[in-house]
Amino acid sequence: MASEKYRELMEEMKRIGRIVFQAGLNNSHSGNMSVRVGRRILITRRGSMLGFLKDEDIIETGLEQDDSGISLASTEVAVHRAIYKGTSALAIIHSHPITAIALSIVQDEIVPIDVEGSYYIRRVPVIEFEFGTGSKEMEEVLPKYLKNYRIVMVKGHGAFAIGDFLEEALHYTHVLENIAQITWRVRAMGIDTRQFEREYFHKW
Amino acid sequence: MKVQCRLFASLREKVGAKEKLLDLPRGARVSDALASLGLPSEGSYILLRNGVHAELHEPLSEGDVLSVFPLIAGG
Amino acid sequence: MAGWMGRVVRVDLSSGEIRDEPFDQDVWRRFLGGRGFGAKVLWDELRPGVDPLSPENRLIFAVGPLTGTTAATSGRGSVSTKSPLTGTITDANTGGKFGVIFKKAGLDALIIQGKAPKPVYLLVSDEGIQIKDASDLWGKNTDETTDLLLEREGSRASVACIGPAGENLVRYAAIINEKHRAFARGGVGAVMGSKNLKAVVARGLRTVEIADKERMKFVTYEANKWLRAHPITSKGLPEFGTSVLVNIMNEAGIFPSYNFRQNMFEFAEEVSGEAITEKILVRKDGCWGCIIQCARRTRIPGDEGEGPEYETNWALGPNCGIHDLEIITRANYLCNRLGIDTMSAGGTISCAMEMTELGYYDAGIRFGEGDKLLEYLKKIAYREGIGDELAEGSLRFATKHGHPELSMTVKGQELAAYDPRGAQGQGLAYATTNRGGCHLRGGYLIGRELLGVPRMIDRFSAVGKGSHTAILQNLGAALDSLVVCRFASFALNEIVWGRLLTAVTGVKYDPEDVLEAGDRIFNIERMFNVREGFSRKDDTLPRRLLEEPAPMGPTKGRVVELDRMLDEFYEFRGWDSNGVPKPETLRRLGLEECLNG
Repeated sequence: MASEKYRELMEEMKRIGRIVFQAGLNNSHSGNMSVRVGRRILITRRGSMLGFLKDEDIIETGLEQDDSGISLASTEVAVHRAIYKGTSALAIIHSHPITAIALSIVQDEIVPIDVEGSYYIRRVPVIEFEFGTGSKEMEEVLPKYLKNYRIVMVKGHGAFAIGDFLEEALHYTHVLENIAQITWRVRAMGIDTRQFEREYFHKW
Repeated sequence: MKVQCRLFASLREKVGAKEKLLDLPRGARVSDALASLGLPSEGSYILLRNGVHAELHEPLSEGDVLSVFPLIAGG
Repeated sequence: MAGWMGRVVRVDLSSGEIRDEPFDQDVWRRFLGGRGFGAKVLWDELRPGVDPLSPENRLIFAVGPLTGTTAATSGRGSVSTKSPLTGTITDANTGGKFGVIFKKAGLDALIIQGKAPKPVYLLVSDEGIQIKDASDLWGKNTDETTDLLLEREGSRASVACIGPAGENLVRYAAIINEKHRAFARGGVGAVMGSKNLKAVVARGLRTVEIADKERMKFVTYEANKWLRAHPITSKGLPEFGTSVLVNIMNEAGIFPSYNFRQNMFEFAEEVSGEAITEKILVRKDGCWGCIIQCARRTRIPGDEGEGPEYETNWALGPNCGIHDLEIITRANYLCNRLGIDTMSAGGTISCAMEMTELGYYDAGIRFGEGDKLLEYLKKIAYREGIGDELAEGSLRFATKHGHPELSMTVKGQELAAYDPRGAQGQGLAYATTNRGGCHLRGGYLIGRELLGVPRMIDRFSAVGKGSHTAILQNLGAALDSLVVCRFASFALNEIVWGRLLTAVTGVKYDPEDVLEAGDRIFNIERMFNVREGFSRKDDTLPRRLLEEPAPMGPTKGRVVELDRMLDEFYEFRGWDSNGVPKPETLRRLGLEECLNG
């Protein structure tokens, strides 16, 4: 459990975790999230239920190395560390939004075709890795992408979103899933959505 | 219960007053106060209850002062 | 070259020599322009311990790659020097149109050194750069100087000049452009005065080359869409101007008054943005090419001008116990004509008022004395009587009379209109600015702690504030170097700035590159200050804010918990516990020039 001085941030993690679960952006036990405070990280416990986080589900660890309860922290803690070291992010949400994952399997970028989506996100790159979770390759590649995008998709796996606040990362995650749902529904009508990817989004 | 509402910037014109004393049922929330001022709760505001940042769903108490600002900035 | 004009000129006023400097593209890519370029020059060229008012000091006017383009809020300019008020590095940033006209004259930067044997002004135009006689202008106020120079050099020119305060080396003298706009803080006007330089006049018609016009058109369109949609930039700022903050800060119990003896002001409503709109507003106004239009054109009996803006309004009003909007506005106009920074002037006079009230020293002025305020501003500008002491700033004044704790300053520069006892992060921001007490260079934490942009964080908590402060400082350093307005960043984030910068310069800037440039700039400034002897001991606040609990309202009973926040801040920044950037931090930021210093 994290130090009591991080109470405000712990409550925020519980609040955002609940929304991430209720919105279907993760299943009961999937995904993880963290916040950075100086050289410290608060991260959700491995296998914890994001929708029902308790104090003991939030683990405090160092930015540089494991120094407390690391065997309990998410298996992806190394990726979180790499992102914090490679970007100015103060919060990370890793989620498994179903429709966005479906799209990531069949295409190498997700471009919004709806107005609201294009307002916040111009393009979400889809990155392919040989090994799915917590790999060295991910630690090297993800921060590079997140220097340029607030949210990226790992092919067939899930999304990583960053922000100064958890709520910001949540927002991007939500927008991505909405974009994916709209794209999917238009395609379900038998229409090629590429024609709606306004040419100028690629200029972004 | 009585809640004193103070309005600022463009909201003064919208509500037609700088201050309004509201008589709200016990257990009323910040959003109820906005509704009785005729302000849509989906609008963007900065809300202070007795000078401290408040959320829409927060319950109010007798004698509270609720300050309502539109989103503003400066400096 | 795209974005940058590719020209830096050095003027030695002692010898009269004017020469082109080699344009080092790598330096401009790393430091962007404006404040960043100024910091780089000061680091490279200034011997530690140099007297800011000596000919050796440099005064660097610089613009950035976005200046004068279609990018939102790019009508600004910047000046950098070593401050005679704080002894730190300083930069001041102005609106209006001077920056744009300066760039249209074909320059990115003008490095001024030496001291002219007699008063001169510089004409910077696309037809050449000249040192011209200003003997007849010396002693004139900024209005008169501006009018005479426009008559002489053509009405298309833009004038940035000093008034009597700059000539008389008032340590917080400003440089005034277009009569109502100011490179305000840190005594940049005194440095200009010490060089016998009355004005810089810019004139030109060059255009800025854009690397990718099609992309620029698109990104500009997107950015403007955001500015028009965001409630702050589309409504909040234009409708009531910056003074709209008076009431909210007061309601939250962080609106200082009476030299920070109180954290609320009983007459706040009388000086609010709402009152300005009702009583003295003539029309809205704005900088070159800006769609926000937050400036206020105002009128009072017998006079007309611009302002007061929020900070000015507070410094000359509530902080001096004054609530007569007409007097505050008159004092604002007067400061502009005399060429004084309104914030330090107000902060110095409020300190003198409290010294008098407490019987520590009779400065002859008490809280609430508006007419005397006007008189004292003139005394300061001309260094007459007590004005001579007050012209040194509140810290030197209060220290001389045995009560430095009554100077509400950080590193000798007067604070802004937010009581940090009710906004912990803002306290850290004040304490860690590179130019001394300032709400902008330290990071505008008020945005997150009070206004909820982009998100609300707990203003009473000290946890996590180090990270937020550092990030905002970095972003701010980048914006001041591009050079664009802080207000745009309420609606636009570094993603947009990176895209604009890429389109304009043709150099690829990822959003994180923008923040990293800001980080680099903040760190080279810090290294300059470290070289001058500054360290953790100087990253502090007036005793009142650390030890005396706030007396009123929702903030009652609180002090700033600075030490806790400082540790987290230094750690996040990669500085040691004494506040010195570690070698690996400098290496990460590519600041090789600071490693062997």
